[in-house]
Amino acid sequence: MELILSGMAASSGIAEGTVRVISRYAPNADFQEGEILVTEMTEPAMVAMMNKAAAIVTDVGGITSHAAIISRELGVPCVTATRSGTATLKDGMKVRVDGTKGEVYLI
Amino acid sequence: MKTYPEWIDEYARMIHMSFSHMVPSSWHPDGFAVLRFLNGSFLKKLHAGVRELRARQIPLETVGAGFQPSSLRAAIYFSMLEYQHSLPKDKAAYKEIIEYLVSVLNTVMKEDVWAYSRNIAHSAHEISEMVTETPWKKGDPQSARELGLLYNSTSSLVYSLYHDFFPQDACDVFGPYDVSATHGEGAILLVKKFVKLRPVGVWSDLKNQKYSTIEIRQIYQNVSFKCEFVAMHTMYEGDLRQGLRAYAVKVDDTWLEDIEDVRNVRDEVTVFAQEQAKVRAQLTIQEIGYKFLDLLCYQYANLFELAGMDWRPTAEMKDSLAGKELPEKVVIESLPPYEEYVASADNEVYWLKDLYTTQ
Repeated sequence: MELILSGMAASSGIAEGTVRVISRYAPNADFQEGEILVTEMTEPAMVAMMNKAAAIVTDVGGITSHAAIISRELGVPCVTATRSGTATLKDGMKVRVDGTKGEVYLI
Repeated sequence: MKTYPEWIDEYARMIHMSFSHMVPSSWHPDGFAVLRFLNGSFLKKLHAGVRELRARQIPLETVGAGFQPSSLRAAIYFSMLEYQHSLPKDKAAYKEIIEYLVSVLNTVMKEDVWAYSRNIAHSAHEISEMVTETPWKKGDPQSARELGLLYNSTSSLVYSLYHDFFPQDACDVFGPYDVSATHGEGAILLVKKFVKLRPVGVWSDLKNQKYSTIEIRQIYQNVSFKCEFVAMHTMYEGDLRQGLRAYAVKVDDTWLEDIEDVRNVRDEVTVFAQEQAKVRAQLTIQEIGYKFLDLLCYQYANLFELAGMDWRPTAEMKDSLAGKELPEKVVIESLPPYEEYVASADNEVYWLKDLYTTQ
């Protein structure tokens, strides 16, 4: 596995899945259960996608950002403050998100 | 020798720590700019309210009962920023306001007034009553997951209604409360309370949104919890799914019977949240500024009602935004080191201490 991205370890745990990069301005994308939600930062309009996501990766945000808090409440891994998640990760990539270490691996 | 009250140092430590967890530049638009534009016009309204409450001899506890603790702490913080940026500064008036509000906060909180790590607003008797009177359901990983989904959906509704600067007006998390005597070693109780979910005074069209309050009570073992001054900034150690021992959910004074009920409420709230997010997304940045004024005042709706005043923004407040451009994003990346932060006139702590200098 190749370490492809790192950031802040915002919510612990490990999940694997298919990347779906979501624009903040396109919350109605056809997001599937178990996909990895990758976005600049989460918005309330993304509620349904966040509820389906196996893990969440964001470009910005601290340990008490919306994505971090919700991920912890949902019990899913989250890596925030990657700076380049939405540029580095592409739709369809298979990745492992390690929220305990704050790392994302290409599978 | 200190000439100012101890709470200012306690507040300063808390706010600096709290901001170290956040990235303010990710907030949009820049609500702090509204506080600068107001130039003390909301403080005038607030001062009138405080004076009226005193004249009417309304007990502090009665005023405090109208606030969730995190909302009051945030409201106090925003008042500090407005005062910091107002010119000329009405020192005597603001001293009266801040001392009053801090006194109210002291009636609300049982300990850790500024929520450096906990949000303790219930007495031992109240906690005991909660434990004995709640119709607890057995917790397990599946129910933990469903509660997390409900929490996300309700939080999303709150963000859609109150956005980045005011979600604490509708969401607070209380605890951790020690319930080891009834639920085993290390057991803690957390109470996640959503209120004001139908703020019709701020958003006139909420006809599809059914619920006004949702409360989630959870008992965990092998989980530790902490929060900060906005207690919905929850932080845990331990596995929330494996550690859930018992739960209960109340929606508008009705306890839900089973997890299917929880799922149904979550589905409804998710729709409300998405609808409200669309409404908000259609606002212009100017309209967002005026909505900020509404929400700033709405924090104090109960206080103004007790004072016999209309809670809505004054004409002077609205005029303060006319012709002003609200920046798209907050410009602060992070706060400077603590000693520099509290000493600088660029920050609110300096001006709090200045209230107690005689020059």
